[in-house]
Amino acid sequence: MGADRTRRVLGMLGLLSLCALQALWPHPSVEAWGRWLTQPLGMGLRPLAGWFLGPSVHAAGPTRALLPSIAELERRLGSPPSVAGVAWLEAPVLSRAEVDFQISGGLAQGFFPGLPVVFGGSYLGRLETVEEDRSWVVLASAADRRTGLALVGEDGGALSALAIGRGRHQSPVIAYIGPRTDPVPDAPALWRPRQEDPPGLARAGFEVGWLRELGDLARGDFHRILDLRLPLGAGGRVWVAVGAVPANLPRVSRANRGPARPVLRRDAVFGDAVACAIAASKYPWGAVLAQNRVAGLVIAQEGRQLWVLRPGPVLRAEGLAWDPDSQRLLDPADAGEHALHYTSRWESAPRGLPLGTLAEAPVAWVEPMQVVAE
Amino acid sequence: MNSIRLAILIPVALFAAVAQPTLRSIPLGGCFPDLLFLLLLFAVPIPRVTEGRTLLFVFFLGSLRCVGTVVSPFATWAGFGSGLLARSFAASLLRQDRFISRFLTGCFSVLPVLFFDRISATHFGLVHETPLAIWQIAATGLLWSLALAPPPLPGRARTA
Repeated sequence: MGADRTRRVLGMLGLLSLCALQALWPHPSVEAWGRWLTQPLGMGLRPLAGWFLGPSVHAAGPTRALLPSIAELERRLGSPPSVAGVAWLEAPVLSRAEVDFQISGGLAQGFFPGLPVVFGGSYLGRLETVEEDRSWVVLASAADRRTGLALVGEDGGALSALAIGRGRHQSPVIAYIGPRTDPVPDAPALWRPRQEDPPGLARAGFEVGWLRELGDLARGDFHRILDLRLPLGAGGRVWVAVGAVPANLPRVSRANRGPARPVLRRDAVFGDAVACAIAASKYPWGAVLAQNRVAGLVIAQEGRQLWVLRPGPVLRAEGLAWDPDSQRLLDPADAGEHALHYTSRWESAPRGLPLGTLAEAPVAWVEPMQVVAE
Repeated sequence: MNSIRLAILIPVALFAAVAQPTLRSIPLGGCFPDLLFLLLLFAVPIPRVTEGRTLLFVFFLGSLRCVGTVVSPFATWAGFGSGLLARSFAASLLRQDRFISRFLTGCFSVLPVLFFDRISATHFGLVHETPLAIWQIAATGLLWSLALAPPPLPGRARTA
């Protein structure tokens, strides 16, 4: 009897420990299996819980004005000036990291390593690795990356310099400034192309960042750094300097969309921060839209049922904002009341889904709904 | 748990799973303890925590809880199971004939559930509000202490 009880206790402890381990360090496939197990109960009872919760779940909601698409705004800001001998090819950004990002387009579009990449009047970096249909851009901040600069000297003349990247945690340091005179501090640093680049690029005056002076000359720790200004729009698309426009352009991923309907407008543990919807088809959906706004970003999926994180300050802070007055894309922290907020890339949700303005009331959890995925 | 108890418990559990989101939406509803966990506490007697059926009941009620919440089923199962074990542990240390001991036992038993809810919240980038959690701990302790009031002491035996 004692051995039997011990075996039962150990078995229970073992099972609970496995569950606890999965809860603490979730493995996606095990998590999906767990949700698959509980899915039938959810499919049967969740609509009932939604009905029990209140009739507003099925109330018709007013449609809000469409916001300009983020792609449209990025094209407006990011199209580079025309340069003789250069064709600019728009390439959507597939993923972005601190010092490099992956773009659509590769050998099939005539890309090769070393091609300059810009956004509007800003130089970003060069293509480093090029595959058939995608490439990697390495930014000027990447470790040991050397970028030629044209600075303004204190005598008003142009100075040549070199910025050396120090990785994602530190700004590039400026070295090898021409000995004639000192550069003007807190002034824009322009990109100086290589000899093999088209000569027109130098005349276009692409900005890389700003020259900053740090430390004290008397103490011996004086140095100059390049304060990089990466445009926010470059998170969505960039322009590659190619010789000629190829026959097939970089592939632009189209967002998949489908109908959905609300199931549960609040979570039993997290309250209004989480809601549940059901999509018409099973697909790894990324977001739910209602009233032409983001109603939630998908955080968990059980078959066709989607648990979403409702828009809130955290979601806005991670996104980006368009200021219609200054016609600029801004960090949400710097945006005013009238700024239009958009999401950043989220799991399988496309970038730039409309969140609306701060003054708008929260999006109701109402039909008609749409699910979207990249 | 005999079949009669199960025949009552299962419909009550289904109702609790469906009603839980509504309970949370009413004013001060966030302070109520988890209905399904309460049901588990009251359905499983302290000495029978390690029975095979108890484990099945933990998984069943945990799965029902997932009807109304995004919390991972594994977090719920781990929380419910650990909650029962925590209650047994507390009951082995504290005499259950005093209000404060029963209150502390109830409070202690709900801690694992809230811990795993908080872990889930962290994974989803959500906020698990501490004041509400404290109210839930207190409410569980109070309900446990009130519901498990010991029977009155037997009268002193008459001696001839």
